[in-house]
Amino acid sequence: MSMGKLLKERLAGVLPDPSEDLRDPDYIRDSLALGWLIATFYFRADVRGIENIPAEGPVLLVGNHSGGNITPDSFVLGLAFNTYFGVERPFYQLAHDLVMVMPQVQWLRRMGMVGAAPGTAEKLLDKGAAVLVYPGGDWEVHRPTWKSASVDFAGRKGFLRLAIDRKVPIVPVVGIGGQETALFLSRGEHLAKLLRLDRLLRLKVLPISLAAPWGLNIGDFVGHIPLPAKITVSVLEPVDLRKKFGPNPSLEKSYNHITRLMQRELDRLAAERRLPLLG
Amino acid sequence: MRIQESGILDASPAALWKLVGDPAGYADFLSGVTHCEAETKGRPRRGARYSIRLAVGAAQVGGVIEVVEYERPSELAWVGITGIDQRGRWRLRKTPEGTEVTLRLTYSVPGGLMGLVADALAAPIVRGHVKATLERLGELAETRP
Repeated sequence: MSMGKLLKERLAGVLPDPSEDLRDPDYIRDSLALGWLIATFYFRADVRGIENIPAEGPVLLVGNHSGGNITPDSFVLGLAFNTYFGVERPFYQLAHDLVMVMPQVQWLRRMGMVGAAPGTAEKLLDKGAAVLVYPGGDWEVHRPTWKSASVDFAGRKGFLRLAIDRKVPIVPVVGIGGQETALFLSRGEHLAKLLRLDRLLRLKVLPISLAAPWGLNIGDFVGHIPLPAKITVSVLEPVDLRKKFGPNPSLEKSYNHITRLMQRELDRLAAERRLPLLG
Repeated sequence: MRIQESGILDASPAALWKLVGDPAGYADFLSGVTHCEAETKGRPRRGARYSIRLAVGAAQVGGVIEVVEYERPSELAWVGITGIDQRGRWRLRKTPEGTEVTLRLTYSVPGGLMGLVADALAAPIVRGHVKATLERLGELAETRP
């Protein structure tokens, strides 16, 4: 049995099941003020195109992921979604199961975070929710800071199958700034392989960064204090893969289309930035 | 938090009411409003509902509002049905120089102490929007017949 499975089983009686829906609209509503203060004054967040998200019905939001294990882009997008559409509209974020068992992030489950176990996203979309996924996951979120302006899903295409099977539109979401909240030096993928973390914990990386307050930060397991980088998030127009590529869209073509759209927008956002942190 | 601004505009109440009396057109002149759309069919009236969004800092806040007072051409008030708790009021009063226009926004951010802090810090942003709205309203009233 892998250590990831063992950990999940051991914690099963202590923490709620990662796939359990613990979203609490009243809790989210009470958290908006603090979220707004942090997003507005600490990250000077700029969210564009939120109105591109269809006003109702299930939708799959697909983002590029930045910021190590403390991801300001998802926090900013969550705030923008909840203030724009209201906390009454169900909005969920899929996360790695290992993140879900960390005691310090249990409050995020009340904000709508659920474990990315097979079948979870399908159930949520079937009941009409908006679901946010980051296909690049741990691979993308720990990329070096100097690769901040590149979309890297590592070839993962599960999100496309999900959108096609459930007949839901994909809304690409592009963020920049998260990779400036620390100096990310390396994913440490070779180290992770050497330590067999991919087999034991389904982790392909053991990231190395310089981050507050630790200085040298290996693994980022307990997170870090993000530097106050300006976060810009741009929500693109919905893409209906069936309309674009026919009733049985090719995964390869769909993947290239979505990542190309996102990379183009990320290039545009990167060109706007003049100084690191300040934006 | 209550934000109120008034000003004398060189236009008649009837001319200003053409703008103020139809919330579906608020995105044209209400500073910071990014979206305003009728949720109910028919002419503006008491009981009509609109979905509205106002950009404040990093968020676009709003929700569905309902018109609770509609007295042509002098008074329009609304309350928020969803989203943050909010009320708004337009008041138009004829004066020898034109029309005294008052726009009042009252809102309350949930979240206890943090809500109060956010209330206070959002106030200058909202006040700026209210001031800019009155200026824009004056410009539009001059250009529209």
